[in-house]
Amino acid sequence: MSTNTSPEITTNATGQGRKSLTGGDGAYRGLLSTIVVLVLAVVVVFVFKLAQQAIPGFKLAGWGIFGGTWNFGAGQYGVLPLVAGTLVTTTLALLFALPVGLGTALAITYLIPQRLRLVVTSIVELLAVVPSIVYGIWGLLTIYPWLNTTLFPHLVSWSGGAWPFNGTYVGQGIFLGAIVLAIMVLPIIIAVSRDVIAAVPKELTEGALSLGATRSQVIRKVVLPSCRSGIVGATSLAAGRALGETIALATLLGGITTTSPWPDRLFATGSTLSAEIAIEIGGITGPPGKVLFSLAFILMVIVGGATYAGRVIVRNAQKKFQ
Amino acid sequence: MKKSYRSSAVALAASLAMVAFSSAQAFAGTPTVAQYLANDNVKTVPASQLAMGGSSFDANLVNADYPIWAGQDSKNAASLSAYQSHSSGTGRANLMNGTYQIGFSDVPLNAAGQDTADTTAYAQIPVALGGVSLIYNITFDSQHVACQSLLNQYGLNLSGVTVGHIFDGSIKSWGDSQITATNPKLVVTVGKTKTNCLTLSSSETIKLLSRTAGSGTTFILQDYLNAVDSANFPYPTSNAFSAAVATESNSAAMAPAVAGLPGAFGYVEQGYGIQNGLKSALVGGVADTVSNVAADATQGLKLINASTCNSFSTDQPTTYVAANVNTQCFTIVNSGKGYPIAGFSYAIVAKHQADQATAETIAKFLLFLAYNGQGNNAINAYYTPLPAAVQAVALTKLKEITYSRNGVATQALSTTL
Repeated sequence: MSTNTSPEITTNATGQGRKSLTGGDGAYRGLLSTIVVLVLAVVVVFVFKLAQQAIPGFKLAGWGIFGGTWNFGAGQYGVLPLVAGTLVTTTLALLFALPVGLGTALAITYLIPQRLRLVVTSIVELLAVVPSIVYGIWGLLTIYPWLNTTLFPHLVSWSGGAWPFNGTYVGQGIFLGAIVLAIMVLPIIIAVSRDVIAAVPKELTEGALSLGATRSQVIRKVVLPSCRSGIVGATSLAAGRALGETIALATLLGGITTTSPWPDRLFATGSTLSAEIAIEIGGITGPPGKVLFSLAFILMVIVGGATYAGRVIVRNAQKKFQ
Repeated sequence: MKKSYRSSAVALAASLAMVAFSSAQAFAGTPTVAQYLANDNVKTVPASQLAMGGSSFDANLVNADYPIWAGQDSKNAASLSAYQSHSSGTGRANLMNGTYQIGFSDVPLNAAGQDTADTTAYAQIPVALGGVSLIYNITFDSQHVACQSLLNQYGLNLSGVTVGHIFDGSIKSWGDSQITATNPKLVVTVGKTKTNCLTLSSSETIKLLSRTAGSGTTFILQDYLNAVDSANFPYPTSNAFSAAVATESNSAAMAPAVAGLPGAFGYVEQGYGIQNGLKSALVGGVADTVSNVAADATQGLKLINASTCNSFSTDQPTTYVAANVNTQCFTIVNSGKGYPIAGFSYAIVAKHQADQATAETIAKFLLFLAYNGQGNNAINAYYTPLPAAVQAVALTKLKEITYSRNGVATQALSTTL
């Protein structure tokens, strides 16, 4: 048995030795432990305080909180339309963003010449630093009129007004929100996907090419399956971003104007949990304001659940690949 | 020649008399305000920069005035941050939760029954007088370009009752007979039949847009609707209109929303409509004179003065505390005849401030807003300058702001005004 307190030497999977930081240097270790405890304490206090603030809201709303009618001013606190708006907008945004983001990441890694790669990457990264209110205004001034004067009239004319293109359109709604949200989460999907695609061992791709596979076959049969877990991780991160987006959606979704708790058509207006908190923030000091804390708590549970589900999927995908 | 000398002398004397009279009027009762504003800026910067925001109704005025005030002295800029435009509800809430030190609202405290704080602890200072424009976006396809020309030429004319029916949802189409009846000039001949253009619009369904709950602009408009349709609008609220197909978070979002949606009908503080190139409907044959105030401020004010001044003494929920507003009126509507649909916007501040620097920063900026910030600044931002009587109310209210030092409450402005 060794009594040596110096850092232990361990080996990792590739057999290379490295120094473990688990031993030695008591002060340093203490500092790091304190920081970890502080971070955990912040999380615990945050969750506890939020739950504490949310309880009066749940009590005020009663069972009605599971209802399908949300009208804050009139004291109707059914959150179903907000949960539905949150989930539908996020799902649509991911459906729009995933193919585009993945395609862009593949193009950056395999197709675009080296000298252009930096330019394209910088432009994509620029999307990530644009404030969300700017996206909201841009969506309202640019995409919104185009939807009303071009896309929606054509969709109605083409479909004859059949579902999901039925009913009055007003431009604002889950479709507009999802498009803008998709653009907002694109940098996340592209950046993470690009990294995992670039990490695919060259031996795999070159091996496939040497066996006569076309470039497209290599991407479909080798690259994408081998970075499945990374892509799921990128999607999970993007979902987290989309679920919590607030200001842009408060501008673009058009609010709840129908009695249906679910967006029942493509042109439906709606709202999300976070957007509604921002919109109704004016009433937060009154007794009904407690319900807004309940919304925040529900949103936290959904985002936490989505993140956890993403981790589980990534872990399973990694196991399967290994 | 003699006669002409005499006429000139009389004209000169009259001019001098007028100048003297105007000067006397201008300085009567308020000379110290002018002196105060000319010589005084923030002396001590508060420990942390103060924040202000709220109503989008007065945002155009505050955004025009703040840079001037902040540019007067670096300590002014360091003491108070720029305006955050949201809604009246947010202005009141963020004031009471401490986010803002100055909250702006077109709705009096507790009028909506949602402000739980002791409203007597706050001073409500009138700082802006603006109008609400009813904006529309009616389009015609290429077969009816003549209709578009006629609409551009004559505008859309609505009766007060019709406006009420659009907002309560009982009129759903631009071709409704109640609307075509007040627009007899919008007629073209199709085949051999004279047809009202509004029935030919490519966007015939009215797409009513509302502000989200908490809007002071909604409050002012609903007060007008109360005057024309008290059955459906028994008292003004800031709730969203239930007939709306979409809701907008502030005036800055409402204007482009109407501009980008054929068939849309909405309402904004007039400046937003003008800035976005939107026409406002005529109501009861009356043009939106308040929005033309830049061209004729005197006429705009005359129209406002001739209108009903709603003191909310009878038609408010019992939670409303009229004494806290304490101006001549809060909103101004014209008994259903037409424009102005106008209202005051208020800066709301705690009467008792923690320290002298905070109290004086608030008082000095709001004094600037209520006096120097009016005139052409207001006109250029499409507001009606505050009448002198209302400025005097603002000054009185500002004197209620105090700070406590060594346990002794001292009026922030009493030593200088």
